[in-house]
Amino acid sequence: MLCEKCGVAPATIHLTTIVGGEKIEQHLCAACCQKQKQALTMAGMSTLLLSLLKGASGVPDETVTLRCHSCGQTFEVFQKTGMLGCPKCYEVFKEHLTPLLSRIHGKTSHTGRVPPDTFEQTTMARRLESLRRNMDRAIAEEDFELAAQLRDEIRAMQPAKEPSSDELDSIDNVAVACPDDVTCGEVSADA
Amino acid sequence: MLDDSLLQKASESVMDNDVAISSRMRLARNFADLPFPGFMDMEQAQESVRRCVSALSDTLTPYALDKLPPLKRMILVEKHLISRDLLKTPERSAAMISSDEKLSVMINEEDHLRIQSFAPAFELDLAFAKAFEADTRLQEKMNFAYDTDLGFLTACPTNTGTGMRASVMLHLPALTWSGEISKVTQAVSKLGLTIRGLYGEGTEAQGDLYQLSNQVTLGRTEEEILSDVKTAASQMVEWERRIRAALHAGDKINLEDRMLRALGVLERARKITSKEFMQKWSAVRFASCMRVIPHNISVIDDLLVSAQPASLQSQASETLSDEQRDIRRAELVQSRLKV
Repeated sequence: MLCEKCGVAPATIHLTTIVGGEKIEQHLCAACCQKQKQALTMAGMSTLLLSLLKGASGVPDETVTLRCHSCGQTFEVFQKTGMLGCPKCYEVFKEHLTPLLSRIHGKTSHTGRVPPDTFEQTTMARRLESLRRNMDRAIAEEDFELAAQLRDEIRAMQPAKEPSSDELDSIDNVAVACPDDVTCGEVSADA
Repeated sequence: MLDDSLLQKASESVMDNDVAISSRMRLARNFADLPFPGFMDMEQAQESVRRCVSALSDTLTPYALDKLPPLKRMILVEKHLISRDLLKTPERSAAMISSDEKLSVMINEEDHLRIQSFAPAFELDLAFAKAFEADTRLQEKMNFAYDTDLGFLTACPTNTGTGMRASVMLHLPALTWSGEISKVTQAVSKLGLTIRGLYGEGTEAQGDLYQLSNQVTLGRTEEEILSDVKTAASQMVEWERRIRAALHAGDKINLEDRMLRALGVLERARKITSKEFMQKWSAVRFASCMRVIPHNISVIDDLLVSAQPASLQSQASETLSDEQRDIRRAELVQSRLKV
């Protein structure tokens, strides 16, 4: 096999890189591999971002007309420069930024520090999110007693005036389907 | 206030300074109600500077970059207190720096604020504590752009979330000379970290100096990121030490020959360019760590800033040509390296 970069020397190095969960295989000769490593070593953040933007697939054509009403930045210019114009751009371009953030960071939710004025609200939101995840896991594992407990905790944390969501009500009665699609059990969590 | 034990640990620290030269923490923050610096008009840029100066002038000294002579600006870059990028728009930017030069805030670089703190050797904990102390103080007075899902919002999405970049500057001559550095590069990239040259983004690794830092800023807490960088840096320190010992044990004559030839040039040359100086400096620093030469490592480290172009020029009474600067560099290095 010849080196896929220069196409002259035999490929003696077989590289596997994982970027944002995507596996990329390369077959290179020693000289081209060295060049690539040097380039990678010195690549900066923006270089990384621009390469991700360039290689981004699934970004539909209509994004070129997306414009932030607050600062005037367009998604098209952002794709070339990697720079947003103002904090509002994150809302306007949200749909297209989310997959990009996922590719850069592997995740799309902040778990770090919060400003003092939003501390209580954020702590509550994170606690609710964690309870919901645990409840989903309990349901998946058919531990309905735990799921009901978690549901009650979630309800207790939500404001009284807010009606219970369908999602929460739906676990009062849980149907479990076997892989062959035959219902094999029904459990009432309040029972 | 900072924990006394952290400060004491830093002042006493010589541990790991054979490989880790310095630690740095950077936090990116933006005002919620202003466009990011690249999209601001002059009035908004001035407003951003005014807010920062008003909030920080009790502890940090403001520097209006357009009023600062070009030489003084370059010295700030050579000391890593500001970036080269900040100098691209001096009329819109400013810097605020503490008297001990351990904390600086760049205003209107890529983001409205870039809070930076510096600590010696591998004292990343100290740099972390100082940066967040400044951040907490600022957040009492300012409303930063923040989103519950995405965290602190930054001009470039690569910094969004914590806005935090923790970095350790490492001297890796053995890994570089042996060619093992490419394995290091591959290993760190799998951990959400990156390794770059001396002056950051897009610069080459002069003097076998590298900055190890986190690449991921979203979805990990500040403490997790700090821990990731510390763990990787510790492993690289150990890796470098192992290769240093192996090189010395494997081919002592050739290794010491290379080190002592470098020392010979630094001690005897009548003129030396910045590039050659960095090459020889690396070999001499390596020699000092391996106790091949008696020179104190702190003397060698001090040269890293004082032999840079702007620092040399600042010590001269007239404008130096390139050749004159190379002569001054050789003189300075010889005077400092006298045992």
